[in-house]
Amino acid sequence: MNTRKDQNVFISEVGDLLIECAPSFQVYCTYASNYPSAMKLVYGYQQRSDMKDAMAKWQAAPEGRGLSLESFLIKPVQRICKYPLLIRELERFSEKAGNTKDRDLLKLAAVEIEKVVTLVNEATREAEEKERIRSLGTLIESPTVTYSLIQPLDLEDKVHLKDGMLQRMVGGKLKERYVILYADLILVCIPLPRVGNAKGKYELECGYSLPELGLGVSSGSCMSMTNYSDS
Amino acid sequence: MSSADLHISATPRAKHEKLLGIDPAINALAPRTSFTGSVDDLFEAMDLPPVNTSEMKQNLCADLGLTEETLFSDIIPFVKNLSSKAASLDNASHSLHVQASKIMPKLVIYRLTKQKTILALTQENVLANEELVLTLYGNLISITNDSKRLGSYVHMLDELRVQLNKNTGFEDKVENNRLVKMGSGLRLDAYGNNSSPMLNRNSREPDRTSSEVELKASQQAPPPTPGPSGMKLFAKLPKQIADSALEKPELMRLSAVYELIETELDYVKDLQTMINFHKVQMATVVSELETNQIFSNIEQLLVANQVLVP
Repeated sequence: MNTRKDQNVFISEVGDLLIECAPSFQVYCTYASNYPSAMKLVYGYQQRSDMKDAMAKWQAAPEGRGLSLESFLIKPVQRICKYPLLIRELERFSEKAGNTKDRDLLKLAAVEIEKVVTLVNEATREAEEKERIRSLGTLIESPTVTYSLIQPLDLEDKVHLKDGMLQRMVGGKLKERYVILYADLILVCIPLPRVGNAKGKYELECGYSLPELGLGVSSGSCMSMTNYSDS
Repeated sequence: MSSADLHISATPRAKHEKLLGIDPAINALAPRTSFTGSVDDLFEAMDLPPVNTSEMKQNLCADLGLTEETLFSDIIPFVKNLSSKAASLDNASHSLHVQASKIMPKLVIYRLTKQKTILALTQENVLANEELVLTLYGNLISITNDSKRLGSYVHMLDELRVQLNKNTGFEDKVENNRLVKMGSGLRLDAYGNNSSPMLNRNSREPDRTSSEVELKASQQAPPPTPGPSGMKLFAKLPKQIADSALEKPELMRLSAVYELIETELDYVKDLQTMINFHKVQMATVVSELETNQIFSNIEQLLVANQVLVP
């Protein structure tokens, strides 16, 4: 685009360039999906005085322009999301100015770039979900009454399948329980009351090793789980 | 502090000190509720004219670096609470609500602090009670685990902080739509404890608490808004074009073209800075593995974008 500007200030067309570049922007998927863990790392650095000082120096340096590292790191994420908007806007102005050639090109460019942005969002969501699942284990607290079955809770290698809120019959009443299903293990947790703004934690109520589990359907729509090793 | 203790005593200093602590009023603003709403509800909750175009919604998300779902699932319930409680809160918070409703169509919302207080800014104008802003910023103790939001908040806080420095008389130069920070400015510690922002403000007149200070946003020039209230041309349009006798639509079009080019050039420069300065510096203090974990494939991004602006 820059060279085009040098040739003729009254640029007549940019759509073609955008169409050409769009596919190569898929590299943003990698950056965006890595971004959450990058920020976690940087946040950790801020807790260390040696790193904190170093980062403050970079911020104060002329290259830093008074902006923190975090401010820089998010720029690519922001930029890639901006393209569809900039292009659509340009498309509208081109339409209004009667530049139908560029307008049509820009229409195509918008489609192409939106494809990339969708991929980027997907990659980000996947990374976030992965992180959520990984940290799920850290939210579970051991119960006051220990079950000999689960000891200790080591979920690092477990293959997560699904998790969500279900209801359980406890003493004739329906109670809310957070259930996490792994490939070989199922955990039933009691949601603990939230403390201020902290993430919700859970207390482990019981866990079943799937190979030892029997499943049945009782009357109504409840499923019952029987742990064979109990009997 | 009980939640009934909502009224803050008269003197500005006492007010600052109270707000510097854990203000139950502010805390009361942030219960988590499940909410299914749309961005239209968000704007309704803030007494703003409805956001008509998906472009505005996308702008909002783009600037925050969030997906639309994340934006709505957290910010909207909070804003709804803010609006409904604003009337019962003290002056400072109330004026936040009041000013939120004066905001221009281009709306960007930032969420600050563990206490999840929302500061509403526009891209063109930051309308906020300056004291409240400083106090909220001073309350920034730690941010949630959500690292993505962390990044965007810190980013905008940086920009805001530099803006505030500008308005409080510390020197900042505006260069190419960016603020180059000079002087020590306000020492606001985003991660550690409050390094009291009030330290530098003792000399100020006491009754600035309710004054509205209009600050100008610093970030890269946003695309010109073709709003109903007239059109804006890109600030750095080449003289040749600006002086020419072109028709308005064509001028607008070229303006948007140059907007794209110039912001792209600025962005590429930022990428280069990150690669040549930040990454290099980082590598001197942490391992190569960690450096790569932070900067990921940034060189590839540079290559891709340089095709657009060689």
